[in-house]
Amino acid sequence: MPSIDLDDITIHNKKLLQVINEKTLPIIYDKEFYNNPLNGFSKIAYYGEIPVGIIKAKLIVPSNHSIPTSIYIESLAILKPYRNLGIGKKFIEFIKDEAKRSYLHEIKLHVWNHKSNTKLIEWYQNLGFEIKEELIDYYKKFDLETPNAYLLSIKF
Amino acid sequence: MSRRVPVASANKEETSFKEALKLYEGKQYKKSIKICEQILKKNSNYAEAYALKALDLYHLKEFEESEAYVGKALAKNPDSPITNHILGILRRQQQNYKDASKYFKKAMASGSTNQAIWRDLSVMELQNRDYKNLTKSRHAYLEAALGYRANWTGLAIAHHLNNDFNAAEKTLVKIEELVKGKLSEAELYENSELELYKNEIIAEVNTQSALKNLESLNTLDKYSELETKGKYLLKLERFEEAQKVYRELLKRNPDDYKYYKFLEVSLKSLNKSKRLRVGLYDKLAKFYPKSDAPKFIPLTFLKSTDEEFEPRLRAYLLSQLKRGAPATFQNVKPLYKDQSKVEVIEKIVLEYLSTLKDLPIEYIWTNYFLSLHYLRQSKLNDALKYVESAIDHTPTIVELYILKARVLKHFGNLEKACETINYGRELDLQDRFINSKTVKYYLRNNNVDRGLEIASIFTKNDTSTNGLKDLHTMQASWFVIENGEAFYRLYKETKDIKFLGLALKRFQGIVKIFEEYYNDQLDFHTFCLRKGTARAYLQMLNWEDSIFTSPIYQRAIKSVSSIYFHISDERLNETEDVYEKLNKKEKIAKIKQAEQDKVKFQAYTDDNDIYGDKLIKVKSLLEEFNGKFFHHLINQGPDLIFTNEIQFQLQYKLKKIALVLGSLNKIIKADEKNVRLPYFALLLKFSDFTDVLSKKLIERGLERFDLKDLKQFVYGYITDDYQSILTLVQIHNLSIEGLQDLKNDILERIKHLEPYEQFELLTLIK
Repeated sequence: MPSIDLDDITIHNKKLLQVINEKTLPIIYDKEFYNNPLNGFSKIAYYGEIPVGIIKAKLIVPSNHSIPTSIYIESLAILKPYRNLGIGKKFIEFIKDEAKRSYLHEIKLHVWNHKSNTKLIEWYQNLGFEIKEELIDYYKKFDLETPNAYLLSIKF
Repeated sequence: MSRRVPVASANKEETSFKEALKLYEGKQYKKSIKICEQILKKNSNYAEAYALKALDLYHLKEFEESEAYVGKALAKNPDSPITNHILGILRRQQQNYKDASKYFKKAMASGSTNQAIWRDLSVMELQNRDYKNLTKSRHAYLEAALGYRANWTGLAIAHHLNNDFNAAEKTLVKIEELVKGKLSEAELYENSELELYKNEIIAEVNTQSALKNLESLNTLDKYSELETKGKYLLKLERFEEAQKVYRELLKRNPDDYKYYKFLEVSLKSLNKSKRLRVGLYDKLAKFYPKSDAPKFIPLTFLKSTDEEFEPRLRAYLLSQLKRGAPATFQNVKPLYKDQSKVEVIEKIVLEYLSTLKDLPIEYIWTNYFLSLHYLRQSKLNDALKYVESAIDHTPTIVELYILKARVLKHFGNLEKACETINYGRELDLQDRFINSKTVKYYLRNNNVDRGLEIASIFTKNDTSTNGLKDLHTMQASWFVIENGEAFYRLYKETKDIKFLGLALKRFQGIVKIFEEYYNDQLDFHTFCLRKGTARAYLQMLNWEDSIFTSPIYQRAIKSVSSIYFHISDERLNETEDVYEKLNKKEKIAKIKQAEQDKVKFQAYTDDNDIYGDKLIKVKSLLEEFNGKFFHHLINQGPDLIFTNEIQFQLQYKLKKIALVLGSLNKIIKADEKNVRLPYFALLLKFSDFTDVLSKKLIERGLERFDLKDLKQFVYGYITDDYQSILTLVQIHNLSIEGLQDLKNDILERIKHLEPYEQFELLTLIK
């Protein structure tokens, strides 16, 4: 089986972030998101030598804090044919390592609350994430069937 | 001629002159000139000082003044050895090697004691391919410095180039004897190379003795030794021994296809049964399991109907597709000459694809393979379908976009092709290959600005707004020629004569690049002697001798000829004011814009003809074409069909019927069924030359053609390919009585061509 490797997103291949996101996710990120793909933590996953997945995350500084308290995954996408190969797990481990290095112990993310996403939510739960709350109309501007999202979190 | 000057003063002048020379050598040209002037003030007859000043001035880019001083030097004393030497150096500097040779020769003839001039002279003679005189100067230089092996090698090569193999061999033997037992470690390579070189020379005369000589050698180049030995043995029909040599070579490199072929020649198996040959390759495949060749070669000689063809092909294809090898199609491409094999390939791969649901990498590259497979057969819809399913599956692979763009290009949809390949380029901005491809696509779509902008990502743009200068300096002829062709198309589209000049300018860029390639030999005439790499050196000379027949050079000439013929037909060189049709305001705007755009179009530093106006505004256009572009091709490829097609048209325009017929004969000699012949014949037959001589010549020249039934005559040369239909279009455009209904046939035949070819031909029909 081909190897799975994570590599940096650079100014030379940042377009991959957009291509993979748009191929896999129902929501559309604003331009700003793609213009600064190098902020925060980001990686591309290669299957063999083919780019098949991306992750982008950033530090969260709550309004009443002066230092970050958790890492927030803005985007995690893997092309359909390359799922269930352990790539997502590798991404989460990468973020965990990054968190520990910054002395943080929580990762958060939003998941679209839709029947097509049940498996995904289960997948996160298997990794130790918990549903914190449901956010009504979170994806309102994207014209989705149901605009609600779950906030997931894992502490370690 | 005597200079009546007192002896003491003469000595002083000589000392000053030597100092001026030293300053020249130290590149202190201005100071050198100052001293020359001091000398000349005292003694206005000192010819050498004029010559040196000319040389200094040339380096200071005072070209006209420099030439004036050349004249003065020669007027004062044309026989001075030093003057002649200096003028030789000047001419060499100007890359005028013929005159340089002349002056060097004169310097020696006038009694120069500077033996190094012989060496300079021999270099000029090589550059000019003046082999006849070369032997003399090489000989003289050897006598002046017997202690250098390079000089012996130099003389041997001179003999060799004059086909005097015995003298060449003798020279090499002599020096071999002299150095025997005295070779240092560092000289072993040179010695080994020269031994093999000598062996090549012996082989020119006698293969038997060459073989004997070769067997006594123990050189450092084992490949050469073995390959040459195999060649000799085959030539001497000593097949049993040859076979052993090729098996030895296969052991060294089992991936070289030619060794397999020669092995079969020595086994005399090429005409034997397929079963025997398959057996041979199966054995070889077992010996060399990692090698591709023994697995593939049987597929080339087995027939598609042979029982074992399909299973072998399946094994070959699937082993590669399973690895997800993008080059699988390239590897089996030679089989596409046989349509029945193509069908088997299609069957196997389609079948394989249907089993690939959950194997992403195999799925992608099998789709990729199928797209190439259909593209090769011009089945564009299928080609598009398969590359699109690959992209839909995994949209992150650069190669897929290159292929999709290529398919779209064949559809004639350049706009979409550009968009597609650019999307692929953005996936990996560090991929230089797709970057260049993208540039090419934009240029094909006549979007020169965008093409240059993207090309400039990878160029050095220190002093310029874009990479145009760097692309010229780096001799990126793929860019320069595409750029020229784009400008030419833009001219056809807009009729703005600016683009015609720019196109010529770029094509002249191609000429310059090739002239640089040619002039670059200069250093190697001495360098290779010093290193002893005589065999490689002679290969280089051969290569340089046909460099101007390279495809890209011919491509440039094709466009340039068509441009010059057009300018000449339309008398565009005579239009004083290219913008005469515009009103004053528009005219000023145009001129202003052109001035602003200069930086954008500048291909060379210090170029005073950025728009190529000077290439158009000439009195004798066809001479300009010949002298600046075409003559190289006439020199190096006088018998090529391409050369003579152009020559035919050129001489036709110059009304030189004898030369027209000469080129026609050369085309017939090279290819009597040449597709362009009916067009040329009819062009002559219905030409409007009125003078008796021309008429007679034409009549005689056309005797060989059966022109009773014109239609039958024309169709005797025509098939269904692009070139054939192009000929039909050209004949149609002559509007000849009896051949007026060609158009319907053209439109019918054109349907088999690809869309972009159809489009090209349709625009040509009058």
